[in-house]
Amino acid sequence: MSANPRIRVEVGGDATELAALFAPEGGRGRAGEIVQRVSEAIHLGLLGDGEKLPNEVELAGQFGVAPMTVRDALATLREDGLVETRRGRSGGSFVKRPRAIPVGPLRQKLAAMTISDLRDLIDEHQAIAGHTARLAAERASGVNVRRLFVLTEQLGAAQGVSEQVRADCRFHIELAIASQSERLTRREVSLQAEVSGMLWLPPLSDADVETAVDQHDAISRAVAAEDGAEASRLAQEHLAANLRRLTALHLQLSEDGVPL
Amino acid sequence: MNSPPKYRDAAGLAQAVSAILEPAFERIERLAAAIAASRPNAGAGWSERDLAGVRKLILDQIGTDDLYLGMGFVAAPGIIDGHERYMLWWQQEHGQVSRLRPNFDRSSIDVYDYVEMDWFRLAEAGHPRVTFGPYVDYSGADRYIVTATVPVIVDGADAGVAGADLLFGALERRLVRVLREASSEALIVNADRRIVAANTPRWVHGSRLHSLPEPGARLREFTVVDVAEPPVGVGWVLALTDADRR
Repeated sequence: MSANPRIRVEVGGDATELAALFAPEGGRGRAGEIVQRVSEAIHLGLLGDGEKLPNEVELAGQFGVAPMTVRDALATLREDGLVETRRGRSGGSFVKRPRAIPVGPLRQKLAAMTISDLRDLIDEHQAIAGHTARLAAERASGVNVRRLFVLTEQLGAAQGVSEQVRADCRFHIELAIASQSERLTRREVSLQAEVSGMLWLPPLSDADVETAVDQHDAISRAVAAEDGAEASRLAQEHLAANLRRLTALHLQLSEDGVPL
Repeated sequence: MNSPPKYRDAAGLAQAVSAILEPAFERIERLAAAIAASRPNAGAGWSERDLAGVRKLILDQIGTDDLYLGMGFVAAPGIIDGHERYMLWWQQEHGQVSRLRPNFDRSSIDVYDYVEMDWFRLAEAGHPRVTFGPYVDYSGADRYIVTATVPVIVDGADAGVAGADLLFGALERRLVRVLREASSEALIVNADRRIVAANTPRWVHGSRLHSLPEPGARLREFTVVDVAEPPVGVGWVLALTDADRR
């Protein structure tokens, strides 16, 4: 039943014993971390509007936290208007996606990261996406290739940050799907959730959008041509450009102070 | 390990590969028949309520075998009253069965429009049995799967497709078990030229060949000696090469 990506939100790895290795962000604790990841997944369209979330016990299992922590996180998500809880036999927690991605928290997040954090994030993303693109070129089906070109066009036509972010994410996830690897797809989705919102923060010039569309188009062509080495090189170059953009934005935010 | 090989030609092996998929298609075809039979007589509408028996049939089948990750009915556009798009599809994970409810809002960038998907299009176009994949499914099942479908036909007209998501890991075990009884290297390739399964480590599952294997063609340093299509009729090709199985 292909094509509409969902996410497995990973918070600090999924093994409970690893939890101690992850310092809670900004003192909000692990519930705060869950809130952040789930919010990102909702804004990016990785969790669909109206989609039912797993119940508290299942979520606790997936995140490797206590059910109480999940309950706190869900309460915050309800307050933020991102989740709706209905009672009764067909009840549960459902995703309620707002029209637009709120850029304030994304700006804060980017400003709070260091340049070496950003570099490290893109190091990992290059490792995953470079190999993913290579495998996609070697393994993609005709359906995958068609969809890559459609998603590239959608990025060009997208209006506003929310649509751009979603079209961008979808492209990279489709590339991962084309690689035939379940694991790489999960990693790519998780990285998209982390990176993509920040990447499309304004100010964004038409030339920035055009460059991204051209790069997606070039990657799609390399995949269509079954040229793994070229697809991999282009994907890594694309991410190097992303790092330059994120670093530039970060520097600008620290200079201007963070507008909310 | 040292027992004599059971299959020395591609036709015999293709028959055995068919026997693995046949029961799945028989189940899906029974489901398709039940769906078609649920439609009230001409003149009356066809509503979700008419599908209560179908729902029970799906829920009874799913969970009886680890091969079936999901199963259901995907309706031709507008054929179920009040639904431009309609799916009656359940999936199981960790023993939990849940109904799949995709986003059919076509104004949304996240739209799940099944009419464009090959497993739907090909069955609707009259292919009696379709397999799509293996592929990473990131919408419903979140797994590496093969989707198998058959057309649902009511009064000679297309009413949609009945299908099942087959967990590839479970399918692969069954396929490789058969391939291991071949006299030499054997591989199954789908219509996308993708390696579905092989009995030697020379082939990476999921990777693509440059062309579909034909008798006499070179496959790396070996030669294809025999080719057959499994009679189950899903466009797969079974090839034997002159490479040793070990």
